[in-house]
This record gives sequence, structure tokens and C-alpha cells, in this order.
Amino acid sequence: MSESLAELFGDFPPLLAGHLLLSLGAIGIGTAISLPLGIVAARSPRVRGPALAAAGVIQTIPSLALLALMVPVLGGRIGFLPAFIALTLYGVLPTLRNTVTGILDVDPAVSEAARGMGMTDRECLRRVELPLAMPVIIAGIRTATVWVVGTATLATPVGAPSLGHYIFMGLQTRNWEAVLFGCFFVAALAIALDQGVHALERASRTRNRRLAWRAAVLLTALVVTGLAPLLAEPLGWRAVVEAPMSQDQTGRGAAAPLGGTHWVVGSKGFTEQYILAELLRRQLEDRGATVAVKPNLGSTILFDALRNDTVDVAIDYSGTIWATVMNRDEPVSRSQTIAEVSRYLEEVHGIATLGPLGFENAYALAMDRRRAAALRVRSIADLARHAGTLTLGGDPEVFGRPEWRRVRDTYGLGAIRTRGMDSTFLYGAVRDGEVDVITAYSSDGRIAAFDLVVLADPKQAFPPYDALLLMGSRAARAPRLRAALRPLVDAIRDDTMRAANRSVDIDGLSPVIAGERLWRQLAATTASRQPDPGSGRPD
Amino acid sequence: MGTMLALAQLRKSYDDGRSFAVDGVGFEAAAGELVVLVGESGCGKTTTLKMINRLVEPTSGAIRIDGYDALQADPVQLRRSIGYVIQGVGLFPHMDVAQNVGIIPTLLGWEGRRVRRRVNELLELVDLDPDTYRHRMPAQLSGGQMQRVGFARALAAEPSLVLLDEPFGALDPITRDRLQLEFKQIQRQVGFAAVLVTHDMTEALLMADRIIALREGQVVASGTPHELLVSSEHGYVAGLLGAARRHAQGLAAIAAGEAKAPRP
Repeated sequence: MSESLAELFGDFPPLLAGHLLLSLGAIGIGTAISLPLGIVAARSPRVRGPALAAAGVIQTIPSLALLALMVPVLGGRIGFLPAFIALTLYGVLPTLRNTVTGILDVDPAVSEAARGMGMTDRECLRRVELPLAMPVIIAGIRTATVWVVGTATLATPVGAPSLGHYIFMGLQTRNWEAVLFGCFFVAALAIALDQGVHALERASRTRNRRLAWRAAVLLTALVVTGLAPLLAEPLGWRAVVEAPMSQDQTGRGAAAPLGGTHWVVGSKGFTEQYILAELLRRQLEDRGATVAVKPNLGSTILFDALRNDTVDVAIDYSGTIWATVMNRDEPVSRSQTIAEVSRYLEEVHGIATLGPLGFENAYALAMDRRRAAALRVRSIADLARHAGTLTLGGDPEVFGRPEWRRVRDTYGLGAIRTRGMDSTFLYGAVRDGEVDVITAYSSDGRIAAFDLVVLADPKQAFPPYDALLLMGSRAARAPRLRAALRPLVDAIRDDTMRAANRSVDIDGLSPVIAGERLWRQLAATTASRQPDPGSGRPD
Repeated sequence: MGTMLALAQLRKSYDDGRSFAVDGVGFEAAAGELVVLVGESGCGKTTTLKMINRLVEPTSGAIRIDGYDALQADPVQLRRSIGYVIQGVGLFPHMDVAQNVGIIPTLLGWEGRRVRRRVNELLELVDLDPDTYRHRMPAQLSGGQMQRVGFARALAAEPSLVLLDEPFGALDPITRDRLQLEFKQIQRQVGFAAVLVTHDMTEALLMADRIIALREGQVVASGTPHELLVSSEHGYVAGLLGAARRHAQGLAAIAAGEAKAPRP
């Protein structure tokens, strides 16, 4: 087994366990809801219309949105619960619809015969209608199974561990092996569960006891093996089902500054955030804490999680909060943005800002160097002359953000064609001439690697994007935690971060190793100015 | 033999009394007697039949079965005491022949051995070899065999009354003829009263002890087949009987050596 494959398998047991628990729970509860509801709906047109309509509407909501929507619905709670509820809802429709169809499709002559010979409603259902509808109902359960197992990959951005981690992480860090690895095991799991249900159904229909036993044993083996990490370690349940808050499971003595404490580090779903999350983990573990990293959270989901303390520590960017949370658009200086954002976060959301990390990851517009030279474009203002003939590539969220609207209006870029794509592909697309300009992140290592130029922003239409070290209110009240993190403030220069990003995006290092390297690098340079661990003064 | 079934002033309205699908129907059937309901489509014959086992609840009227008031009885218990045979048979496709025939005794809580014995008896009664057919699924049977199983199922709980809704309608003429004869034999042998709905007048004339002709929910004629044939030269009943009468005359003419049956 190659080294990178071994690394992928290293995370596999807890991710598979999370995926399996989520899927089986959602399928089980979903069936427990939709089967009785389907039976009632088949009998009563008054229930049938609304039930099928509601399930149909839920089905039309894109699954990623449905999962993400559950977070605010649950008051900002992330992790197992929102993913579980969304998947349960998602799995209701196929079983519900097939139960209704299966029962209604029973030959009327047969059900009339049943009633005419003196079966009660319940006997008719149990002995005639359900057995005849069963193949159709099982087909519905199988459809739900495949859907739910596939959709459970999308639980990753709301903070529930699942095999989707490989796919999200792999897409962001250009690690195709991880993407394929994730896809393969999701598909294998879906097929295994689907075939298991199918075999059980066939066994019951043909009264084949041996087949039934074999299917039951294989399914049980799969489930028990998959859930083994949770069964073996009771704490594992809590790791998957809820974000554990504080528990003493560290081997280090309480002598270490953070000994006996547990913290949750959140990260968004791109390379820099993965690396920084590992950096934070390393920094806290070094001081005796146990740390859980929740990677791949959506931007707003991470923000909500900080607000309600399901995430303790995370990195966000001043300009992002300035523009998308505070809805401000006037240009201000870097230091003033940091000051205003910090005050706002503290007062309105109870989120503490420990300080800036020192580097900026700004939105910027970037072009291929030769193309820019040919068009004589140096700044964003120069783009206006060519706006009608240029295509601007951007990640899916940027064109919805106020910063982009401000840039567009400030420089008169209304005529430019925009094209959304995953940020992984942006840099390659502009290098290869598929688009003319991209929205780049200024700390991305590929700017240099692909020989791109960042266009100047003379009117300061983009706000500054200092990386800020944020803490939830519970974490902010722990002086030792603040002390442990303070050495990271103002410790990372732009080129340091860019090099770390590049080591993952270009050189194919894993974010874990890049984070570890960054930590060692910082530890060496900041050792001299590390304050006394016990003296957490308020900021 | 005593009266097994007595209907009086039976009415059914689906629109709160503005019109009546069945409007004052009354007749009696004695044990061992076969009463046949005839009439055009929509005349109320099937509705009348379904009111007897209360698949359709009467709006008003009286039904007495073997002396007790059927409208006071629990509908489920009532239906279990009445045999019911429908067109297209309505065998349960997921159950084998023995399970189909034994379903009501099983629901009634008979013990397994007694159910099996009864199933064998019934299969022999309808001329199906139990060892051959007991474990066949309905899909493996011919139309005639399915209808025999349907009869056996209807007779399983030893009913004193059997209702049949177009039981021979889906069968080919030869099978139909044989099953009609066999059904009469079984009825003579077992002695239950039977009410049969059909639109086939030849069937009605050849099988019935008494025919009740319905039109727009009302009884327009009743009597033995002979009485009906001789009394109704004109009108609705004559119209119903017309085809059967012509067939008979045509056959008689052919038998007598004439080249062609007279056409009206």
C-alpha cells in the first residue's frame, strides 16, 4: 500500500463509522415515519395529497442546501443532528411514495374479495395489501438507501464526520486520489446496503431461509465492523453524535497548561483553512489539550458554530465579516477594519477576537502574466476597457458577495461575463486561457506557481482580509487557552502562508503535514516572545 | 326447507335520498334455492347483492338471514358467515391454493389440522385433486381451476348463504357450462341458499330456481324461469329474454334441419 493510501486509510474507521451511523439512522427513522404514513395516506386521500406534496417539496430542495438549512433551523447547531434530520427527511419520499403506490395498486378485486369474505381492515392490510405491496415498498426503501448513503457525503460541510470528507478535502487540495477513494467507498457502501435489503426481501418472498440468514449475517457483519470504532470506545459515540465539550482523556498530566481540557477547532473547506486548523490543533495539543478538528464547514455554518460554542477556535477573515456579516462597504484601513470587526463580533455575537495572524488572504483579481501584458492591464481599473470581451471566473460564492458587487460598480465592470466554478479549478482555468480573469485568494500558492499577476486595486474596492483568530464565548473565558494561542498572533507573514499553501496545492503535501511544518517553523521563530502560560490578560 | 334469506323494502341512495340506486327491493331465498338477479347494467343488481353482506350499507329496509337481523350484526362476523364469489375470482396471488381456501377458517381461529382437513374436503368437492393442487399458486392455474378454488374458498366456513357476482363471466363457454352444472350439484349436495348476479340470460334461465328482474333499482318481474318465459311476451323482461329465446329457437331450428335460424 502506498504511503498516501495508508494515510487515507488512517482516517477511515471513524469516517466510515460516522457515515454508517448517519445513513442507517436516517434510513431507519425515515422508514419508521414513511411506512405508517404511507399506509394511512393510501387509505385517506385527505392525508395522501399533503403528505406526498410535502415529501416532494423536500425532495426538490437541493440536498446540500437542505443539510445547510438545518443548521440555522436548529439554532446554529452543527454536527450529527442537523445532518441526521436532513437525511431523514430526504429519505422519506421514496418509501412514502412507493408504500402509497404499492397499496393502491393492489387489484381492487383482491381487496374487495378480502373484505367481502370478512377480513377486518387490519387483517386485510396485514395479510393481503402489505404482502402484495411489499416488493414495491422494498424498492422504495432501496432507493432511499442509495440516496441517503450518497447524500450523507454532504454531511461534511455541516460538521458531521462522513466519507464526504475525502471528497471535499480532496477537491480543495487537488488530491484526486482522496476524491476517488471517497467515491469508491461511498458507492461500495451504497451497493452493499442496497443488495443486503434486496437479498432480505427476496428471501422473505421466496421463503428462502438460507438466503435470509446469509444476508442478515453479512449485513450485521458490515454494520458491526463499520460501527466498531463507536462500539469499542463509548467516547466515540459522543465524538460523532455531538461535539464533545470538555472531557479528560489526555495522557498528559494536568501539569501541562491545558491538561485535561478539550477544544473543538473549526475550519472552512479550503487548503489554507485545513493547514491553519492543523496548526491550531498542534499548538493546543502541545500544551496538553485534546483537540477535535471539524473541517470543511460552510462559511456561515462555521460562524454560527462559533456563536453557540459548538466550535471553540477558528480562523476567519476581517473582510469577509466586514462585508457579508456586517454588510459594510466603505473602504477602511486594515487596522481600522480589524478594530471594528473585533468590537462588532464581541458585542453582537459574543465571539472574541484574539488578534490577526499577520497575513492577509484577500480577494483579488488575477490574470495570466502574458495576457495581462498583451492587454496592457495592470489594475482592475484597466479591465473596464475590455469588460465586454472578457470572462471572469470565480468560486460559486464570490459573485453573490457584496465585495464583488462593490468592485463591479466601482470600476464599471458590469459588462464582464462571469463564470462560477470550484475554486480548485480557477487557477488552472486562467492559466489555460479558459477564462481571462479570476477571483484569486492573495495567499494562494498557485499565483506564483502559475505565473499569474494580481491586479492592483487603486480604489480599495476590496476590503482588507486579515486572518483573525476567533474564539467562541466559552473558549474566550479560558485564560490558559488564550495564553496558549497568543503566540500565533501576528506570527505568520504573507509569504509564509503562501509557501505553506503551495506545499499542499502544488507539491501535494497533506494539510496535516503542512500544518505540522508550519507549527515547527513558528515555534522556532516565536519561542523568544512566548508569554508565561498562566498569565492570560484580557484583550 | 325454511327461508334462509329475506329482503324487504331495501333501498340505497348515494345522494341523500334524491335518487335511489336500489329502490324497494324485496325477495326471499330458501335453503338449497338459487335466486338469480338479472337486469341491464346499472339496474342495481350488484348493489343489492353487496347490501346483503353489507359491503354496501343499505339506506333503509330489512335483511334477515336465517332468522336474525343482518343489519344489527357485526359486518365482519356477518361476512364470515356468508360465502362470497366475485368475477375475476379475487384469489390472493401471494397465497397458494390451500392458504386461499383456508383463509377464513384460519381467521376464525380453527386449529391447523382442522383447516387442512377442511381444505382437502373442499378441493375434492370442487373436483381438484388436493395432492396436486394444494401448493399451486393462483398464477399456475387455468381460469376454470381458479374459479373452482374461488368456490371452495367461499364454502370454507360452511356458510348457509352464498353470494355470487358474475362468477362465470370470465370463463370460456365450455368451462362455463361445466362449472354451472357442477355448482348446481354442489349446492344440492351442501344445501346452502345462493343469490347470483348475472347479465347472461341463458345462464339465469338454466341455473335459477327463481329469477328476479330489476330495472332502475326496482323489481319488475320475478318467478321461476318457466313463469318468466311464458308470461313476458313484451316489454322490458321480454327484451332481456329475447336473445336467449332466439338462441334456443335457432338451435332448435338447426336441429330440426332448417338451413338458417330465423332473424327478427
